[in-house]
Amino acid sequence: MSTGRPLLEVENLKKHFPMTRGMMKEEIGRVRAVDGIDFTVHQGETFGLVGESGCGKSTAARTILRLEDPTAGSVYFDGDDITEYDKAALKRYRRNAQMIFQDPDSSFDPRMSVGESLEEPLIVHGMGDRSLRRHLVKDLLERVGLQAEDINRYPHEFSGGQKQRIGLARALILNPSMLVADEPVSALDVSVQAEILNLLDEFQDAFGLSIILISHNLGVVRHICDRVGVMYMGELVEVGRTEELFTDPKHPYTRSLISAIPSTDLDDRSQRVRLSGSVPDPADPPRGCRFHTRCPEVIPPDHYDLEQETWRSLMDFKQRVEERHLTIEQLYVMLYPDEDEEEMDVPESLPQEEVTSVLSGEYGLESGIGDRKAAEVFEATSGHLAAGDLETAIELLESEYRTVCQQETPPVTDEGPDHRSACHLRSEGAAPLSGESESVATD
Amino acid sequence: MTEQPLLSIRDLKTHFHTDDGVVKAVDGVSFDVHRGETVCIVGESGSGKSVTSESITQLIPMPPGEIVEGSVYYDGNDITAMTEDGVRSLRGSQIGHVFQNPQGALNPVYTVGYQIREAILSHRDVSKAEARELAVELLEEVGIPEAPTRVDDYPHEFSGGMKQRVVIAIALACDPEMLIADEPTTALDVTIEAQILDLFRHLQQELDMSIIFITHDLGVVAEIADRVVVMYAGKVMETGSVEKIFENPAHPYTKALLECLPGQAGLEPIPGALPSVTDPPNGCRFHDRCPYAIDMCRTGEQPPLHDLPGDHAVSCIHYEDGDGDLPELEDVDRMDAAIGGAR
Repeated sequence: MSTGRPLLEVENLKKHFPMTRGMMKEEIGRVRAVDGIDFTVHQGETFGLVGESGCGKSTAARTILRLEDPTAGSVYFDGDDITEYDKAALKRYRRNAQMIFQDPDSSFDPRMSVGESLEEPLIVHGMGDRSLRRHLVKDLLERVGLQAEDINRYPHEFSGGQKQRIGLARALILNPSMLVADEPVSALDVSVQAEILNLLDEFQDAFGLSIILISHNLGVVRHICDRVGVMYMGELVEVGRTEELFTDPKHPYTRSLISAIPSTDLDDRSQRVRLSGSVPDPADPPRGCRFHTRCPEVIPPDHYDLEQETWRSLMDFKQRVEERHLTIEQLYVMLYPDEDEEEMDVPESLPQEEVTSVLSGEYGLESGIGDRKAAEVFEATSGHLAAGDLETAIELLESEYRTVCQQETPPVTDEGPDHRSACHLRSEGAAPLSGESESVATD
Repeated sequence: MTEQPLLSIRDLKTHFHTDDGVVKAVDGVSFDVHRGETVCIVGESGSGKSVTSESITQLIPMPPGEIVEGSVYYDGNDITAMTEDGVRSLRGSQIGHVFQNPQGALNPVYTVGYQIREAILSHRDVSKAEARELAVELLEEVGIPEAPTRVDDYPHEFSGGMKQRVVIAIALACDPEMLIADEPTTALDVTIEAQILDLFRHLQQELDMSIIFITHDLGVVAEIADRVVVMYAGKVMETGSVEKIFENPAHPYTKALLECLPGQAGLEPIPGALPSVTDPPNGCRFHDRCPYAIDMCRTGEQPPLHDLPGDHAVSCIHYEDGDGDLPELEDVDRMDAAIGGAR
């Protein structure tokens, strides 16, 4: 491994997709698929990008290869900024940076023989000598564990694992220095996955390849990556060396992801962190830390004495109120679920006590909130909701149920060599916000 | 367990008649499912695990599919001998199904409440209002927050994990005794998968249901199974309690599967590929990928399931005496020579 400049440097890379409406394509919002990520990949290194579907890992990879044009940021490859490249320079770049895809079935033209498919990149990049091309293709087919005679066969004659080997051969035919592998084994059976992963490892050693591996399967990532970046909603929440990240994860999201992997260790059954809810809308990401809406370790204000779980429930409640979801009509349906919708006659206000009890049930707070003040705020909010006064309820929660996780974007914390995370729990002096502690405005 | 199993599959053979010949997708499969237990059928694609589960309630397209042999006893009655109406009333009311892709299982133009009510009304004699009430209860049961207000939402208003919960609610609509779930978490992210597995565990404890859970993921098996059926190329290779399978795997295939899971030291791929389904090899279906194969493995039929101590059985000749173990790898060739010499 070289000690000098990394082969690939990604700086504050952003890719937003505009959402438009109407004939004039008026922009009404943007999906922030990748929203400011930084990482480096050294020569001969395997860097893994992991995250749930929709976190932006594939978009990040496509943007690094300039299959998508970035909205902002730079990508330096061997010292050059590829976002500035013109067409000719881009063609040279793509020779050096290749990609393999998830689905080996759809990444080949069924009417082209393996030889034709593999020779095509060589022709594009100007190798005119057919016999030399054939020779190179045959040689590579053998190196990926197939036979030279397979050059005349067609994709449908191969199994999924074999097709993925051919995919690898096609990516390597131009002798690239970097390979981007987007979920290269997730379409394959476990017994075949291992073959492809071992093959990747082998080629990396033989050619000094740098690999960016994108996967939702943390087992795969742990197996072959040197370093890993964990993405959530377009941002990198933690980057570190693989073993360190898996054995000592710093970010609560990383911890939850690792904990969610079904383990073959029978003793591990049901001892795990559970994430509530699903990924929020990327067009309207949460304020502050984007993970705070699901984080099992979201920071409570220091003037409350609460169980972590209770605080999580209160934050869920706050979020639903903020989304203007708990309107009087909604509460009415929750109170009287058996009523026929057409005959519903929603009154101006609802009995406060019943609303409080239905909401406590919905948010798992039946056994009490624990902290007297926090409980008062909950009751007061229910009161406002029962009176149909959503705005006052929102204001009250905003001033009383405060968390630094929602107020501020977490800074990046250095966790030691080659390890960083973005979490308020890790940043120094991240004292929980002391909310205004005047008495609660109760009616 | 001495009580009669709820489901008992005996020597089931489901074949498909295609232009390329007869595909023996399931070729002599037997196992039991007791009341209140979760049985996982695990195998790679093409092992016949899905066809096995679909044969139980005859969801396979017939033709080209055909159950050529064997029986499926449900609560003592042979489903394969029932009329189509009989099977239909069993499906849904006694046995619920959950499929892999919740997107495809829900109709986008009806509210989820409507789709749950439809399932209730087709099997139970209740009024529309009662059905609506039941639908809300079911959504609460499967963990949909604010169920009373979500019941009138359309499928597209739910996330993938929530859609799968709705599909499970529909499967539960008629209080089935058995749930057949075919890769219900494969299309979901790990964090959501964990939630859905929790739900299955919870449902089973609350409702004392039997669950047949089909998956290719051994991690999922370790999470939720009581007993495991390992399938390969249409045959059962090994069956046993989850502890036996993971702590004491007997069949070379099971061992190989456990060794090729990424994320642990020494990733060992299984050499070769699945055998042809139209023209399966003689002897053990796994023999040409098996490091322990001796000449006897290559001839005759798939070995019968030999009982091992405890709740455990394996289809491998190395265990013929009911105990024994796999030979040392270096002894494998010598065994052939010894047998050859004795002839």
